Amino acid sequence: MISTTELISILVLIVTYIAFRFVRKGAGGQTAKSRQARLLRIKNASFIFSVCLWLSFLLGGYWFLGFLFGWPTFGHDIFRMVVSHNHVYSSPSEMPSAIFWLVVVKQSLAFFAGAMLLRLFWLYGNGILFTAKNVNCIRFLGYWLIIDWFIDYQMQSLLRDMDLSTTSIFLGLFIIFFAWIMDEGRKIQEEQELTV
Amino acid sequence: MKNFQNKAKIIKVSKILRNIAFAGLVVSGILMSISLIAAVLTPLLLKKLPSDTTQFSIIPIFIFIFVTNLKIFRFLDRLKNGCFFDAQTVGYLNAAANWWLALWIYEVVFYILMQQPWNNPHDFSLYHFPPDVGGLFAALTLKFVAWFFREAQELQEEQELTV
Repeated sequence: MISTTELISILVLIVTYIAFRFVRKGAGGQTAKSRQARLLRIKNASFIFSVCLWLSFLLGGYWFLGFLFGWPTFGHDIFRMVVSHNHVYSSPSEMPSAIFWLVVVKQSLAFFAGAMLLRLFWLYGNGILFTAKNVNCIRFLGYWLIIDWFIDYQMQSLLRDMDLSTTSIFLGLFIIFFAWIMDEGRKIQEEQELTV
Repeated sequence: MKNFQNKAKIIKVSKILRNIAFAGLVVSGILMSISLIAAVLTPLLLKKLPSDTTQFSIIPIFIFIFVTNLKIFRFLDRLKNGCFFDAQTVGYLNAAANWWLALWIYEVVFYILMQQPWNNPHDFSLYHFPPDVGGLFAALTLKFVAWFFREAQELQEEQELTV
């Protein structure tokens, strides 16, 4: 199921990727593969991702508050929230109480995860690549994907309208695994630095 | 904890994940073979059945799933062998992301082609597209992780070479 917001996010991602490839190609001709060039590339990518995240924060925040308080929309008559295939809500009053609170928890967690991603890209932007802070941010994202899946599962089972894929749960586990490898690598590097 | 203990721990977990990936590889291999056999045999055995393109157009989905699984399996196999994030290991991760991306794009095309012709064009809605965004998100995440590790690894190599 693809909602319009998701489709727009995907388009933004694709455009960002293409734009970044162009920037990278342009920079690649002038600068050799030096440390500075690489750091600059990571900084540029982090900046682009941060801008995209801020945009999604603004749009997502407006969309959620607009849904809650009935604010005006762009192009549509009203904001809608898709919980499952046959359960599309146009106002919080239509939702059962349990579903409403689960949606609030889900959205709050999503905003928090967005904030963690922003923090991660801020760290990358400042040239901090492999520290405990980075690992914590990445690990949180893995846990968030798994918790989000369970909230979706809970909502859809309450509505008796299940349509879930297990991709996000596997991705969450994979991200936790990556975070763990990064953490172990960081510890190894720290130990090596301390060895005389 | 000592270095070798950390490394042994990663290898141990990688081995478990590799076995899970191998199970996925076997399942997707079986699915691919069944879809191929079904596509070829069904029209031959059941001649009365109306010809349908779905049974042929679904085959690439299983092929994409199989190749993605294979790349993830190879990536975990490299980790199991103690090759953490060298060029080849990251290459497998990147390849898995590319195949996953291709799978998602094909899924979108497949579901558009397989939809019933719309009686009323105004009924057309994005809500009718079943491919989940999770797949796309997963592919892009893997691609980002692969790119980031490649950059970091090359950065480290340069640092080691700098006197």
